[in-house]
Amino acid sequence: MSEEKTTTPVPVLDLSGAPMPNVKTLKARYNLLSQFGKFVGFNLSIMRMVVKEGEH
Amino acid sequence: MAEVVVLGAGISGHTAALHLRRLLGRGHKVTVVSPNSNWNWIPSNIWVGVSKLPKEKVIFPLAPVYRRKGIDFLQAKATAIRPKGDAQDSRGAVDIEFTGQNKAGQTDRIRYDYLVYATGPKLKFEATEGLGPDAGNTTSVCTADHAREASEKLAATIAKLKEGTPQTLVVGTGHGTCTCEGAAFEYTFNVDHELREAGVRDLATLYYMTNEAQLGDFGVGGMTFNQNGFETSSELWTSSLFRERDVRPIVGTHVHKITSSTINFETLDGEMHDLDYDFAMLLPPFSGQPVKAFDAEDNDITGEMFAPSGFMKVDADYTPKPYEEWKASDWPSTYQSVGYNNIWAVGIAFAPPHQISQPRKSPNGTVIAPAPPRTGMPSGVMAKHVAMTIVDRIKIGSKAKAYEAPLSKMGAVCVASAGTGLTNGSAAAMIMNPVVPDYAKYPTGRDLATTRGEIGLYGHWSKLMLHYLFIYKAKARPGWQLIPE
Ligand SMILES: Cc1cc2nc3c(=O)[nH]c(=O)nc-3n(C[C@H](O)[C@H](O)[C@H](O)COP(=O)(O)OP(=O)(O)OC[C@H]3O[C@@H](n4cnc5c(N)ncnc54)[C@H](O)[C@@H]3O)c2cc1C
Repeated sequence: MSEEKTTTPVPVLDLSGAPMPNVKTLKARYNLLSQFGKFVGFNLSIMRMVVKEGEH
Repeated sequence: MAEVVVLGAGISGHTAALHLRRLLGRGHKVTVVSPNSNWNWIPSNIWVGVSKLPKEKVIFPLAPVYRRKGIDFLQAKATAIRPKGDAQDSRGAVDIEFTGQNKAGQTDRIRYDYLVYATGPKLKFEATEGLGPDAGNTTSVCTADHAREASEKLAATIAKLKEGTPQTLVVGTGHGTCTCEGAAFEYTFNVDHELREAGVRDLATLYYMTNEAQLGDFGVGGMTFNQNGFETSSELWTSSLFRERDVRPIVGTHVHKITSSTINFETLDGEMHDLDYDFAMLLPPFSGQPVKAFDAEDNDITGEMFAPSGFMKVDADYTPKPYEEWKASDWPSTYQSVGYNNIWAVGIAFAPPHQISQPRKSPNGTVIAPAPPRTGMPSGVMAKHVAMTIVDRIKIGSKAKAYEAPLSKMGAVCVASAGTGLTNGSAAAMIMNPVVPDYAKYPTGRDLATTRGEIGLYGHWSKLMLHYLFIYKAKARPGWQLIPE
């Protein structure tokens, strides 16, 4: 925030209990092979929904 | 010859018009009425809002597509519906006012046999004092033009950060009854990415200000995901994502007033707060478009056809009842309007029976209740099903059964994707299935096999793929109908 401004306290949510990814998870997010697998899985999930939607 | 009129050329209206034209012989007439000359792939406005895409990449002119497909296009806005016609003609009619085609300001009355009402939302910036681009304080990404303006203001903020001046950025909802929290979440993700890419993240304080009572609510009461053999919540997932990126969430907010430097807001506990800011993108609440309805004698029947929110009433159960009694079956399945078997409302234009997320009030009586999202994928599916119903009614007769596409049986996809290129992007990808939870069918309200939330490069590929596929489809290029809605 700009230095000359003052701000009344705002109730920011405490996130200190939220899990942080470890190095392995961070690397996996950019691993082309595993990401390709997830890409296929994600799109299959979408297709599964689309096919079911067409059934009613 | 039957005449079908589609009001609106957004995701739902355009989808309905293309399927109607595809399924009906040229002996029947399909007319689209829409005030904008362009089609907009709204989900990619987010990338326009951070200068990753020029505005021109998310819009294209509708007229050439409609000319090629044999669809009549009137660049106009509907001002009134006359479902029983008028003194001259008992066929249904729509009053329109031209906004282009060299007839701006001129009015006309057009007749229909079947009407699809797909006018989307009115962006109600006026609900909060000082909200929105016209007031000159905060920005929006709801239209491509708004998104471009947001990108310019964000660039100016980043320039100040590069000079070494700390800046406060706020992204979120500008009113207690907003919807589309997914879009605000996505823009937050992108702004964080831009700040990091510019090397100025440490000087920036980024807030996510939302009317959701919990993170990960997204206006649908949150989701349960199946992850590595454990059930986890969208709340934990979103909290983790924000903690990792140092995004500061403020939840359960209703914004009262915005000036050029301060956002004045109330939280669910009834406390008032002021937050000084340098850049803000705050979404407006939505209402229906200001379209009226009249009977053949010119009596105003707007209240019969439309809910007080301005959205059209359809085959939903609108009986007021407490949150505990809400059921998936309250939601509409055919989208046929109340009282007229030749009018349907699809996409954002239909009136939801109630919220999905639990509505709340602060001790001061301020309503802080996320409105239910009606996302792109279901909007397209509803439109296609209504088009098929109309085609059957024309070909088989008025007794033909209506196709059903309830939100309690349809899923939605939300991909918050940042970056460019195939190897340096990142995304948080979510599938929610169904949109309206069905606790009678699923213990967690949704199908755990398909409902998921994940972070990774692949989500970025998915978003890119959806961007190109849907624009291809909307341009009605060869094989467009094979691409699902
Ligand atoms: C920034 C943002 C990001 C989003 N991201 C996603 C996403 O990732 N995934 C997803 O599924 N959904 C997303 N959505 C939601 C999605 O854009 C909407 O669900 C979808 O646009 C709804 O389609 P619609 O046809 O009902 O309305 P719209 O697309 O808004 O179209 C309404 C049409 O009606 C026209 N119109 C307005 N008034 C009149 C009138 N009086 N007469 C005739 N025509 C009129 C308008 O010009 C427009 O052509 C996002 C929304 C926003 C704002």
